[in-house]
Amino acid sequence: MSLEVKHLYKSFPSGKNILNGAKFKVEKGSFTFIQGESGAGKTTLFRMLAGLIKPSAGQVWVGGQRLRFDSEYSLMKHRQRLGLVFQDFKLLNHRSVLENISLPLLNVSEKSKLQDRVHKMIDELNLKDAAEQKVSTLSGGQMQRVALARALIHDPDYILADEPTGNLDAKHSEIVIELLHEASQRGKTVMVVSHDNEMIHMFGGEILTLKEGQVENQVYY
Amino acid sequence: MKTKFIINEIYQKLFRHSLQSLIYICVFMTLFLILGFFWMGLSHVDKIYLNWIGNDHSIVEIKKNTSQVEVEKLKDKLTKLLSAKVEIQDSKKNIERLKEKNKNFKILAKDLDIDLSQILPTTLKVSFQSSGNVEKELDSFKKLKEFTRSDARVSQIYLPESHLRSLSNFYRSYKNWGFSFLIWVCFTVVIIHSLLVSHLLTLHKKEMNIYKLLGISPILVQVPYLIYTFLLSLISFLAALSIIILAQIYVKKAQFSIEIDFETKDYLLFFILIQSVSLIISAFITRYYLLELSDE
Ligand SMILES: Nc1ncnc2c1ncn2[C@@H]1O[C@H](COP(=O)(O)OP(=O)(O)OP(=O)(O)O)[C@@H](O)[C@H]1O
Ligand SMILES: [Mg+2]
Repeated sequence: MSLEVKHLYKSFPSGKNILNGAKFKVEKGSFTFIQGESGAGKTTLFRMLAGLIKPSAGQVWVGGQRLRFDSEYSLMKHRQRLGLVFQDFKLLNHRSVLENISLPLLNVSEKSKLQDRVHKMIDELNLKDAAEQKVSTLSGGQMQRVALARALIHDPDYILADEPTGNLDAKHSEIVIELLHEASQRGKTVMVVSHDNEMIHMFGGEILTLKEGQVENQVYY
Repeated sequence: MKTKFIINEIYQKLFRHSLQSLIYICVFMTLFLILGFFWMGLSHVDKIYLNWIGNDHSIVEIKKNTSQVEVEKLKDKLTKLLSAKVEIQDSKKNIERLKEKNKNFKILAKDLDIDLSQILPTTLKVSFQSSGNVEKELDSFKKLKEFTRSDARVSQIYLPESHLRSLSNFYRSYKNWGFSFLIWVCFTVVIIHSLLVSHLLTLHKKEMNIYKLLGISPILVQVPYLIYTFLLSLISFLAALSIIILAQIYVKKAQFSIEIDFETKDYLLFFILIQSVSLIISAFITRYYLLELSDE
């Protein structure tokens, strides 16, 4: 269950070359941080890994198989094995926390086992009091935790989290990174965009740095 | 779980998204309809009609040398022909009445040495009983006209022209009224329906994006949306229908002698019209305006 990117190029119609032959490989069970300046293309890279946008050139390999960007169906299947935390959360604002977190369970056939996870996750992320609240009434930090809970609830094989601690205090940041780290130790492939070096040193892992459209270095801690 | 999800989706859409919108709809609908009523000049129609009811007699002038017996015969014939009250107004009495009413006329007649009985022969005053049916009454007028043309004893007929004019005006506006009304209801429903649908389409598109991100099958999202849209259409249609029925009741109560009559196929057409026009409008609004506001 590795994730690999081969000679990835991405430019937008506006003319910018965001990715310029980026390549890297992360193994199953790895815990990887992605860094880079604002606008370096971190989110863009994630969106391609999730099959949300097509690369201009290059390939994405998932679990040893090439991702087929031309087939909506295989992209859908791919996303079902993905846990995504977006920078802007992408939650259903007029639905409750519980409903949002439970959404990915629609894809799971064996629900009974996972249903308990919802409440466990809500407990762990300190969302118990807000469980019935509409997402639109939550604070930024609460939304971020809901987004993380939604990404983890179906126990996906790959987790891509775009700045999952951006809105959180130190205590909650630690809880979040801890949860992600735990997942990687259970054999999930986890990639996190984060600038929180303290946290990175605390948990260890690899760091990929994006610069000028390329993965500059791969450092291991 | 999936059925439950779909049912829940429809519930959410109906009661969470739309409750507010429905309140707006009701307010707008009422405003639009009130405007529409004014626009169509309902009160105007009302006045014309009442005016006409109050002055509903025609004068049939009889040739000078017709005997009293013949006049009586004519009166009977007319009474039978029309459902009207016919009164004989004797020439002498007519002259007296006119002299009483208008002093100048008396003087003028004297000066010019006019035989007043020439000008004011015996007349029949024909008062129609208002049957509350415009078509019937117009028919009576027609019969009266034909009668006077064919009968040798009648020299002339004075239909209350102003009343006739207002009658025909009314008749015309009555014909237009039902049509304008239908158009107006259609217009109101279509506008509001399209606004609501496009609003929801945008919400739906946003949601679709999120479902897509999570790898949830689009069918699972589309089905409740389609059912919901259909229910919404049904509601709009029922709203329009109830407005029409209310109007029918109102029109009957106000005794306008108007009928807003539609057949089942009219309603069907009406439904299809509302659906298709609003679908097109909402597609346009969504495509060119609202989607700009939603991300991707
Ligand atoms: N759909 C798009 N069309 C045009 N340009 C885009 C599009 N998406 C991203 N970009 C551009 O690509 C560049 C990289 O964007 P991206 O969101 O990947 O940056 P990032 O590394 O995530 O930055 P940040 O740390 O601020 O989140 C930016 O300059 C952005 O303007
Ligand atoms: Mg970003």
